[in-house]
Amino acid sequence: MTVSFLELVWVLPMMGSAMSLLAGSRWRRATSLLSISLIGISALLAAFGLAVAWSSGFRVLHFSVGWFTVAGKAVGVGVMLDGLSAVLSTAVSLISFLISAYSYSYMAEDEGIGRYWFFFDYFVGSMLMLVLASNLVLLLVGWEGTTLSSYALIGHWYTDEEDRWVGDKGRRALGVPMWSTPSSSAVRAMVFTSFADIGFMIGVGMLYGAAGTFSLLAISKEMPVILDRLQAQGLLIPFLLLFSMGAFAKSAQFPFHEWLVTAMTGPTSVSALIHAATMVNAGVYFMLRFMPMFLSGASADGLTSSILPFFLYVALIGAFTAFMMASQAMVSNELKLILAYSTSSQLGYMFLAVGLAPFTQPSLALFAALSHLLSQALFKAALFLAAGALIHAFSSRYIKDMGRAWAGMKATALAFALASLSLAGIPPLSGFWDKDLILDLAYKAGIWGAYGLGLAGAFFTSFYAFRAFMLIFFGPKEGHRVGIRVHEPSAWMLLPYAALSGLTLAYGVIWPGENGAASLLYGLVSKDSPAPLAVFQISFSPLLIALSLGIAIAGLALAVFAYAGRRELNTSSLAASKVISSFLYDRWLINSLYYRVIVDGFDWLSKAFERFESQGFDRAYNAWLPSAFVNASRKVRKLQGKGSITTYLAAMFAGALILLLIYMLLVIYP
Amino acid sequence: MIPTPVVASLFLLGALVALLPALGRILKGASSYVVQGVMLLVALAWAALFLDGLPLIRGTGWFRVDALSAVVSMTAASVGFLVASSSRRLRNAWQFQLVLSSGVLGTVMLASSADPLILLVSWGLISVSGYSLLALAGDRSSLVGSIKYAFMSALSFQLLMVAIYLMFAGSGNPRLVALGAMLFLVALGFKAGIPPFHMWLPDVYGFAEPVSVSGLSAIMKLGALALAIRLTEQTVLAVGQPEGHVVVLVLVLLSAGSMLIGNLGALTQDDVQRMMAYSSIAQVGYVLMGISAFDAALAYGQPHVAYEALLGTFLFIPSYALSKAGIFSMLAGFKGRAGTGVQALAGSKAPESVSTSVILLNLLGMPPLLGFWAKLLVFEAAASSAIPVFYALGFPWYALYGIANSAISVFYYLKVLRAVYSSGKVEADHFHLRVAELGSAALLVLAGLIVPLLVL
Repeated sequence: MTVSFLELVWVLPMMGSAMSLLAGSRWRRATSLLSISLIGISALLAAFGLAVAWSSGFRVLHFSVGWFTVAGKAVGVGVMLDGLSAVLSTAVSLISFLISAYSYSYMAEDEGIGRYWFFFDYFVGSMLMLVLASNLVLLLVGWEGTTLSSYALIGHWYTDEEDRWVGDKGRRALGVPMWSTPSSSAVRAMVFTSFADIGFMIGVGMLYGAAGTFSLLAISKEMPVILDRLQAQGLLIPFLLLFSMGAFAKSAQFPFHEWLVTAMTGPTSVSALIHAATMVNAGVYFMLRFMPMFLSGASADGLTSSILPFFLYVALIGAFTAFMMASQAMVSNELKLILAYSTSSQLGYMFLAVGLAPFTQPSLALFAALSHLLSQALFKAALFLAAGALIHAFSSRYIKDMGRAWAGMKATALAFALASLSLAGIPPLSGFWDKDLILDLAYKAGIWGAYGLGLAGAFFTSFYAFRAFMLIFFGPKEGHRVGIRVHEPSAWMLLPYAALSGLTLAYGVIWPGENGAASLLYGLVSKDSPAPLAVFQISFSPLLIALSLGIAIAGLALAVFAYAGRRELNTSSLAASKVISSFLYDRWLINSLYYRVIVDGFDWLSKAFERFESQGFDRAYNAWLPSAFVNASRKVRKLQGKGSITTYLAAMFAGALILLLIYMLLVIYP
Repeated sequence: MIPTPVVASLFLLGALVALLPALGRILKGASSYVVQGVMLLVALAWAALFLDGLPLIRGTGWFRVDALSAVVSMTAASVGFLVASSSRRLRNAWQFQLVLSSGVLGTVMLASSADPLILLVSWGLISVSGYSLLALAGDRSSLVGSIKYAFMSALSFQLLMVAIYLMFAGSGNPRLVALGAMLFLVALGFKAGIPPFHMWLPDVYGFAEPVSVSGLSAIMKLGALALAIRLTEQTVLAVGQPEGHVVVLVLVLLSAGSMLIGNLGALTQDDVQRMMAYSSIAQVGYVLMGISAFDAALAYGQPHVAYEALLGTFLFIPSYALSKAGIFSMLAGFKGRAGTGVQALAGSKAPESVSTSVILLNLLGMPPLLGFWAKLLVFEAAASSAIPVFYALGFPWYALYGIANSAISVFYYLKVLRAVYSSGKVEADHFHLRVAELGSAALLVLAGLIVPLLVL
């Protein structure tokens, strides 16, 4: 069966994008409804694609139309349908559809609504393009499309009003401002991800150089040869590091995580889109797409031991990011900021899972990453959309200004609670299964550092999730802004996140078991995908489950105990805890160090060059050189004297003597 | 047997010189038309030779008809044609035209001969014509210039006689021939204004009547340069090593000094006439570069480079002469009025502006003008051979040095151009000056377009 209809999955949102641009903000409702419905159709088509993949027994299906030819090889605008792309495109388009429906009401009053839908649909289209792309060039186009649209959407409120900022105005760490305006956040996102994309593009170039093709399927088949060549040139590890650099930045892994934090200046629906459906998942998709190829290629070559350091690096970076970002989320006061830290942290778990692949059962580790991607997408979308409703209801982005939301927003509270339970890893929600699988694998792989960091991160996670929950819904109401009325939002807004938390619950409930979601998903992504995986067997160790579950419950209980009944956690009595708290609040000072070392360093360097240029080159060209010539010219003219014949004679005889001297030296006495 | 164009030139110019006193009294200023007619005939007589093809340079004989004598004679006659037009501006026009014609006659003779007697006679004729041209202008600066020039001319003529004696009477002794060549180069240095023998030149060219200077700079140098080509060629071919190399080396040094002194002297000059005086020194430096590349290629046995260098030199001579005739005629219009400062040229009328632009760009060596092809060939000859003295540390320093000098000259030529096109008020030139300016510019454009078709 031809899968040409899959091109429409990303073309439709692109069309919605173009039409929004044409319609502008004039017909607000029509533009919104058109954009939403095109994403909806795209979601239906993607679901149909999933069914097609299912019915065709998960063969890899291809469709391509010609685009251009490079060095005799055609590069097409092509789609590739296998388990991974089918599942992800369905999830991405479905969640995007729910978020877009939410935006209908959430952004209804916004002045830049045409621009919003233009970039929103472009964002969704780019993400679907990169997920479905059958070659690296198209993948790269979609990849950079998400960079561009994330830049535009993070800076949507580019007029920089103070209530659109993120962080506390006036707070500085090491002299560096810890708040960010929408316009500067947008640039930060662009700079962080584009910088890393340079590595990605170099990697693409190296891959093309070794494989001679951009086609994913061909690359997958050629992988043993490619890895062999790279190994022979001693470029294997550098290649892997460079090639995956873009994915690390997209998924906000240390040291590229800073952009995601300040990206909170965008509309909340955009945050949900970035965190659940599009941007950050691109990095995980990239890892899930290429790491199996590297693993099977390396094992065919007997190079597995050569690529182990890279995977260890992925695992440790992932675990470290999971731990670090969860620790920062514990002290934050801004609801969206907490969720942002949480996303980066959860992505850390996915990277940890990917990194564990060669150390345990590879297919199981990769499956764990994919499953956690889906869980995270569902509960994080629900959390963000609910957060948008809360921020709107309380007219504040600070959780301490909320409190007592339970009274007016019971449905929101339920949805938020379900999603938070999943985030905290409480059974039977999906977050529990994935996270425990990942920790289980880390333990079995014997990478104790990663396991320890992951376990500590899990404790932090359930703590910050319920700290926020308790403060918002049962906390003191003293912080309320004047004149607010706590109320449920419109159905346009409420239904999407209610649906998402419902999906979270459903996914968790049907996850285990012989015919559960997990085994279906596993079958889907393992069979006949470009790199086949081994048979699925999940065996949780009861002791480990007890440990991680205990830790999750302990975190949850501590949060409930500490924040229930209006009690505030008083940390100011201990000097050490104050230091730690502000260290965490200032994001481990990493942001400040970036500015102090990199930005100020380059600033210093550029000033030094400028000085060198103006004092050296400029002066030489504009002062020294001309004055040297002017002086020489004056000297020449001074030779003339007053034009007396005696001067002429003297010069003439001197010249004649010189000629005779030359003659004597070279002819008579050579 | 004396060749036809030489006979025709001698007869025509001789008759003109003899008849001019009578013609001048009868026709007054209109005698210039007769002079121009004769100049045209002389130029045509030499041009006709090209129809049959000519050797570039021919060995021995009293009078030699080759491309060298043809190019120099045609150039002298053409410039004579243009200067004769400007001369109508002067009070004693026919006397000036008489002296001009005798100068052209001397140049034709000198260009086509390397016979010692004819050489001395024609050199003398040119010298006398030169200081007479200056004296006839009648103003104080020109008279002072005339006396200085006459004095220096007499001195250099002594040196020339010794040089000729050594070169021709020493027959065969390479050391004596080379010594003669050294002394000849001193005499040439005076005549053509090559540092350090140039000291008189900025004072005379820079202050005297520009019409006289146009004749002096554009005609009276040409014979000496032609003779330099012939004599150094003979010397290099006759003497062998190391004497031949010494001649080449001295030519290179003279050329390098000429370019540098000329360009540096002109760089900060704000008076266009004095700037053009220095520019003449620089231009002769490029001609010497061509001659030295030619001689070097002969000495090191590289005939194709020699051909290229000689061709470049042949193009450089008319390029230089026509430019100078035109620019000094243009300056003659300013001399009595606003002066020849750069700013005085502001607001020139369209014909003057265009011809001045063409002339200055030609001196700079801009395509498609004649000066471009000349510079191209000369620099290429200096760079394309494997002649050791032109290379240092693997770099063709001589050609690069020439290019660097051209770069310096951009600054002062464009300074004049900028002034010409900035706003101001200048009266249109006297018609007869305009003929000289526009004529030289037109010839430069025409030659620039035709030459590459003929010789490249």
